[in-house]
Amino acid sequence: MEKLIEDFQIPDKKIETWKFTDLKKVQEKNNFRPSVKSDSTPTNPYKINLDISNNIFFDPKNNFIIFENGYLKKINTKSDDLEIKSLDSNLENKIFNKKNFTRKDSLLDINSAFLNENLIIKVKKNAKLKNPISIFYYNCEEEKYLINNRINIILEENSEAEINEIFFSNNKSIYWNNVHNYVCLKKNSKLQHYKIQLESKNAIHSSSTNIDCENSSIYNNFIFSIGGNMSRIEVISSINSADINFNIKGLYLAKTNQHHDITTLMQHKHPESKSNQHIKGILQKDSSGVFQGKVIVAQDAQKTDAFQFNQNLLLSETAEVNAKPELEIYADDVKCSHGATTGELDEGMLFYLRSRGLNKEEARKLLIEGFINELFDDIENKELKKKLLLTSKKTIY
Amino acid sequence: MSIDLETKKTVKSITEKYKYGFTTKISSDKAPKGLNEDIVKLISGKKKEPKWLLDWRLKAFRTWLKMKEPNWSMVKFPKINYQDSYYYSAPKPKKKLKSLNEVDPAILSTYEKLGIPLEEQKRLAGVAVDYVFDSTSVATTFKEQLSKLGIIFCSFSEAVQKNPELVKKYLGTVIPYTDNYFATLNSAVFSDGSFVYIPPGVRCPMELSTYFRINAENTGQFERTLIIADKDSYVSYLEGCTAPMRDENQLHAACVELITLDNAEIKYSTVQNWYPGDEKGKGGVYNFVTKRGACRGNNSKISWTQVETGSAITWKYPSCILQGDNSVGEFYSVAITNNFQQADTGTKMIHLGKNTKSTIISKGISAGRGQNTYRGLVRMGPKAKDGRNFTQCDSLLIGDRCGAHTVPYIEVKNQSAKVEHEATTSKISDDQMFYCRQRGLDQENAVSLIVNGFCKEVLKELPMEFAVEAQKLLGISLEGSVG
Amino acid sequence: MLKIEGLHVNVEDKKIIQGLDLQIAPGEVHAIMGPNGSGKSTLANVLSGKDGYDVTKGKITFLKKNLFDLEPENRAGEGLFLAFQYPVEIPGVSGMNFLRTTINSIRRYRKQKELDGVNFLKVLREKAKFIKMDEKLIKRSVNTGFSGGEKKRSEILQMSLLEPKLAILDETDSGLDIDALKTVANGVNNLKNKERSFLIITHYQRLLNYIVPDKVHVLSKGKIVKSGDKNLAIELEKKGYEGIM
Repeated sequence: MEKLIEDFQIPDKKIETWKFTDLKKVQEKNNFRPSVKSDSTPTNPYKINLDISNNIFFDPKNNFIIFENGYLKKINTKSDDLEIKSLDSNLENKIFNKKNFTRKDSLLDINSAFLNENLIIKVKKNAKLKNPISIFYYNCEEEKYLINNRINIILEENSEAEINEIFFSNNKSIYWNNVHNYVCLKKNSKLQHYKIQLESKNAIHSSSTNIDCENSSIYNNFIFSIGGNMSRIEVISSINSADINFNIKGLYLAKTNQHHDITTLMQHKHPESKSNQHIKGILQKDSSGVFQGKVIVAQDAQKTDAFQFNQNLLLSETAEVNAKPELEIYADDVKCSHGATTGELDEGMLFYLRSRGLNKEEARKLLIEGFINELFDDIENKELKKKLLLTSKKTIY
Repeated sequence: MSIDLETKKTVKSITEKYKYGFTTKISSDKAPKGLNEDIVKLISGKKKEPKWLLDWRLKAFRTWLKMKEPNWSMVKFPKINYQDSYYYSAPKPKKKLKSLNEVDPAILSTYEKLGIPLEEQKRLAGVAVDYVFDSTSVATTFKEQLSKLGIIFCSFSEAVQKNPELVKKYLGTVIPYTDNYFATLNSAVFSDGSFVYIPPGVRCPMELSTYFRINAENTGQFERTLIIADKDSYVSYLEGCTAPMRDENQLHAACVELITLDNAEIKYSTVQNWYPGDEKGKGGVYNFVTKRGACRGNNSKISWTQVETGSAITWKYPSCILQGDNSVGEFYSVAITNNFQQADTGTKMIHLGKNTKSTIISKGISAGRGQNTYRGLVRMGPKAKDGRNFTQCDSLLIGDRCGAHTVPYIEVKNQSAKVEHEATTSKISDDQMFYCRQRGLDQENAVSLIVNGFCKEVLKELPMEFAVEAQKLLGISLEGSVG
Repeated sequence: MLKIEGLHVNVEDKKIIQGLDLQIAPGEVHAIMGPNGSGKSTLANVLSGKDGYDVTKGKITFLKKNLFDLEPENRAGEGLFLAFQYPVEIPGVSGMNFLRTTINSIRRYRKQKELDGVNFLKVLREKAKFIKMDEKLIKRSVNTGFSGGEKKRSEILQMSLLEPKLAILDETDSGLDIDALKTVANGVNNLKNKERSFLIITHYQRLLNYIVPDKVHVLSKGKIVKSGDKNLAIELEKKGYEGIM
């Protein structure tokens, strides 16, 4: 029998990992319905929507995938080393073993039950992709749709790629975007993964990226979350062998009544790997921010080096922040640490700048910029870095 | 791993059995096993309690019946059969006691074995001791000296008789009888405990101290302590405990409530050394304690220091509610888990008033198959302008079968508040070990030395005579853990 | 240029400065010496307008203006510069960006034309070279991860860029090796002119071998207890504070 959205328990604060984000309440208020493919979908060659081609993150040189209102519109590959196609759900289970990612909530089940598109992106062995792969999730409908898509990514041995996911809309639309990514990094591969969340101000965003890492692979994730009314971005890793380098950098910028949640789970299962997380938040107006990060180091994961740091800047009296940086360590010969700070701009720094002639506003601006810059320092794609900086400045001032 | 197998074996062979494992044979006045309203009434009746207190106990009991045992902590234990326990036992006094000399010699010898210096030694050390043997106080010293200053330091039961208005005014105001499963159970069946009241402007001239000890077989321990520091007063309170060896698990669910009014300060120090169970994880005390202090007055301060080395399971979060402006909360903790011990401990710092400050220093040491969790909450309320918190949690792992976990919750609803949290996990490095051994220390002493160094920031918060005892305990608790 | 009359300052209800008078004329170099806790740094912080200092009595005029009417940035604009005892680290803000922003805010305040990128770089290079500051250091985040000497050099670089009328050096010599000390002194001496005054706060006479003061004051318990010429500093070095007071 067809499933209904009512058949699922939408996560709320009763679930420990949703302690600070109540998705159920939002769903009750908006009553999002799973989207249906309309018959009017044009079959003739798709012309790229102007909103997309005008978006600063759009670059026609890149490989790209375009979703419009939840459905796949275009795939454009520029390299023979890259394969992008739809994936049959039955086949998915044969190719992938997703045992490392069990969930305590219903989001994956919802995604499976109402899945719009299921894609696989494959980068061939030894291939180093020259151009990034950009995935646009664009919405311009005002129906309250729940949109479910899934992207599976495989980087074969010794391959390298950059993937940018851009979530945006014409800013009028209301929807709930529920996306799942599964990433499999084979031996010696390297992935730069940018998640750029610019959803419409009324939208809900929930996404989960689950990464299986094999020998000597490198995964660099950058989360940039500024859109939506509520967002929840998860990154879940499974470190399955030695010598893996796993990095997450994240920035959430919230204003008005936005709520941003970044939740990470780092599962160190094998020895001698490194993970590094640095998440920053800037909260303005009545917004709220959440960082939950858990690092598990299993008994066998000796010589693990895991670091986690969360910094929050509260810029208004009514903003709020909740942080839960967790360590769960079962191995003794490890280096693990975490830190979290929350506060206003540092008074000592403000005074120093003012004693050099900057007025309060200028000094604040410079310090906020500095706060963000630190995170952007080692973004490898310089072009993208510029665009992200520009976008964040626009959001703050 | 930092230490080789051979040394581990050597050390195992010299492992000292739990030093304080013995039972004192004295006759107990026991209520029948099991828990129901009649038992609650019996406890209350034996103590000749006023009706309001009995009603309070009954309300708690009825609430408890509807509650479920919490399961959110990292600790695992078999289901407790609450009907298979005694809820009241009191040592039978042969006659009314006039002095310590009349105390059952068996009891006194128990304390001797524990190395607790009595009477004169204590008087010289400036410590007044309110001994709680099992559930009823049997002797109190220094009463006269304290009463001259208007300080009330007595058993809880005595306070109910002599100072009912104070008890009524403050009991359950920090930990309401509905608070949590174990606190609610305590509220219904608490046996006895200590009561302290420091009048306005008085600085208590000595450390007040109580030694707790579980004795009678299968006696659930439900201590209830209430300390009130009135305006401009100060008191330092010591609590220490050891328990004899048992095969069956024993439940200990105490409640401690602290209240400070304007400019008052309470310093509460604990050394907890209940029986931890044997090397195989058999037996040991379940220590499910609710401790909470309220800084009601402006500029008041509550400081918790704890050294937790015993118990099979420790579940406690000494907390501070910082209501008064400029009030200060502190939590200094050392928790050691060895063999199969589990500890889930930490604190809650609830900042409500302006300019409130809190400091949390937690040192967790895991050895053997021990599991050690720091769980803490720092909450800055919307009115906690300029609130400050600094938290540091360090974990030390000894061996690769144990676990160290950190679960901090940080909730900030005020822009001007500043919260800083740091946590690290490490092991004793080969270099440190080698250095110590090269200087002539054996493995065990080297570990003890390094661990003491690791805990220094917390130990220095303990009153002098306690600190020495605590240092020794750290060494004893880690015996047989090396490697 | 600067006139302090009967200044009393409290910090958290503690009396730190208790009746201090001091006058500095254009072009003069004054040194204030004193033991720990005598109120030296408090004076520097009050002059530059830091929060947390409670002025209970007294008046300070700077270039005929009431200093207390001015925000810290306006004091800087008027030409008051404080070289911090502990320069603040500002991660994420590059030195280049910082220096250009400050120099132009001050130029705006002084109604001077702002410097464009090319001209700014020219000026910066010249000044950096003079005080032997590595350009790589300027590109890094402000003071972040700098050694003690590098921080002090960076303060002197800022001083030379912002061209103050009165520069206060708060224990700039502490923690410097002899080479760095000479560079710092050189930087100061090079900036000396008929219009520009200096107030050097220091613990030791060492720095005063390189920057010769016109006047030396001894500060004790929040008051100037003795004033003299450069020989007073030498005497102090010999006899110690106790011997003098």
